[in-house]
Amino acid sequence: MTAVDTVRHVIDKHGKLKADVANLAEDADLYAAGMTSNASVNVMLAVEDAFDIEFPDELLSKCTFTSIGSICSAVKGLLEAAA
Amino acid sequence: MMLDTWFGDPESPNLGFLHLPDDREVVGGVVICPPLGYDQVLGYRALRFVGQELAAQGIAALRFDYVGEGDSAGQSGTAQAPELWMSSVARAAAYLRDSGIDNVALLSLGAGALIANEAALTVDATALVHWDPELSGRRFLRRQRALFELTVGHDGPTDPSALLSLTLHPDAAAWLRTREITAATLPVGMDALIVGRRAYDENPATLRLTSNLPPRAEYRSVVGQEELLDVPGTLAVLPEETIAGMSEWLLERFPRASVPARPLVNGRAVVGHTSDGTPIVEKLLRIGPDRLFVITTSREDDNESGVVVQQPGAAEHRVGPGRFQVLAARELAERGYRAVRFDRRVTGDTTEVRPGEPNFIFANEWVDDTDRLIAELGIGEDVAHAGLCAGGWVAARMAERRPARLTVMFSPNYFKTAPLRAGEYSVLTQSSREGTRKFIGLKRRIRGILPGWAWPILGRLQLFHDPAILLGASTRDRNSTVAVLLTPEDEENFRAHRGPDAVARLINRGADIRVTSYAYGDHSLFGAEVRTTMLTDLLSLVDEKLTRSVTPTRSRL
Repeated sequence: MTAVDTVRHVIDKHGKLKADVANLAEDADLYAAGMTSNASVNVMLAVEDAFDIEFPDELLSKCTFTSIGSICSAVKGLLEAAA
Repeated sequence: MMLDTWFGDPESPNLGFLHLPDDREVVGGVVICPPLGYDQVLGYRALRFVGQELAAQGIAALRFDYVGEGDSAGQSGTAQAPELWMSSVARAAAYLRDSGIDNVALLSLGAGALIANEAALTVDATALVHWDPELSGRRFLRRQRALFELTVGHDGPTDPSALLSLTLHPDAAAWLRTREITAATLPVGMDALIVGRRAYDENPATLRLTSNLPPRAEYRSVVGQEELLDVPGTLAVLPEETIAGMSEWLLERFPRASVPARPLVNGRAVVGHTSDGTPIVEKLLRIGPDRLFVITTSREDDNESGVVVQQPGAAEHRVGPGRFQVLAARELAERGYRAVRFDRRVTGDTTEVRPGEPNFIFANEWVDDTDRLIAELGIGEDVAHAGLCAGGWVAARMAERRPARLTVMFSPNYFKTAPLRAGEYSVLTQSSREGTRKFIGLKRRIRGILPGWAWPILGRLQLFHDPAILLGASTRDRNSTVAVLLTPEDEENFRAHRGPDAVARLINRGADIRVTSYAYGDHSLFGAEVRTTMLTDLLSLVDEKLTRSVTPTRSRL
């Protein structure tokens, strides 16, 4: 499973979106698709579990969790920093 | 039936609500351990429903606020908080046993599980239920921190590690960070039921627990928790099936023979002392046909001073960020005033919980409740009404009905005098979330281009939120002052609805309106710093307008 697939799986499970996550564009606005702040925190925690990472405070913003692409980008940065 | 009572240590009493069957014959008792933070707000009525359901099964259920939380005595955010959480559970269990109920189980929600799990052996619990538990204290703190950043973002200059709705001393945070519910930490020799979210089935913490459950522990995976705890309170749905399942499981843990419950009910408590040593007394009352739950706070020797009637925001109670209302009441008493806080219908501990019940946000029912409160308590003109958001709207509407020296509106955003119907606010919230609310885009476009002469006309027709309508109605009495306290998002809304023009017009006509804008803070006052700032401003306004029984020598703020 690629990182994008993993993030999609997590959003599907915890994002509580009305839209079909499988068909959502990588740059689609998750908040506009119905994700609440609570759901985005559930997504954040599940992404941390899936990749064994921890989002630092400076990444705890709506921008980080606004799309599949932005989450993947943040994950990539954290994984590279840890390598 | 439900009995309101203070219990525990008279030096720092807990407030509790005891649910009993009408004949008071019970097979056992359950101490309901509340969650921490905003889950307290969202779960409050749900836990009351649990209490009702247990009582219907012949089980006594005691809900309570931890010392330092909600309406109980004590300061929030102390290093001793974990000890106080634990001792509060022990006191609740002791209260049930002193009432003649020997078999006592614990039921927790959210982060309350981290406390109940530690306390279960200490209180010799018969059984333990963790409902939607926070399995890791570290994860709980991460969640609260992330929620704060995603919903508030910035709360003043001095709090870089704020949590949502929770003030924690570093020592208390360190205690929580090391707490976990695993197969190894579940109390030994005790039946335990863990009711977790289906969406968390594959979480590492859940798998660590479920892969190695002790023999007397059971794990149930349920749906519906998100609809209770991850949505605005006005949209919450009670998971009735889950609650019935926990209630039945608990019933099986108690002996079949019942015993009579003989609780000691105490409606008066000393919750602190003024700097000159005078006790600050709180009394529990029930008022009117709806039996509104009321707490009065005053110096022991005070019957004459001005009264501040406090109104929480939305359909909320005084837990989580709402606790600032409790601190305000006690600070007002310290300064020589009387304070009244109460639960309006379908909030907190007023009116029995019914699944699907509509709230009365921005509806006349809550204005009627306040009117009845004022009448029944015999409160005269030396009164201030202070409320957050929907509570501020009720406060302003009260100034239309009865004389008031002061009206304080924290974070107002609804300026029509035309009320909503029962439950209508929830419908509007839902349609806003789904992007299906009618005319919103059109109204925003019109709002920006309407000529000045047309705005008051459309405001009077209640087609737009013209602040002149609500503020004008509440300042007809020329002896009355109205204070409008705005966080940045509320100020933006106030300006968008031409609030400054409205205030200027009303002041020209002789009204006393004070508008204060803050550089930081969030509408719901989740941030601790903005709460403290607004409380300080409330006290200054009250000092200016109301009569007090004494001159204080110091302030706790």
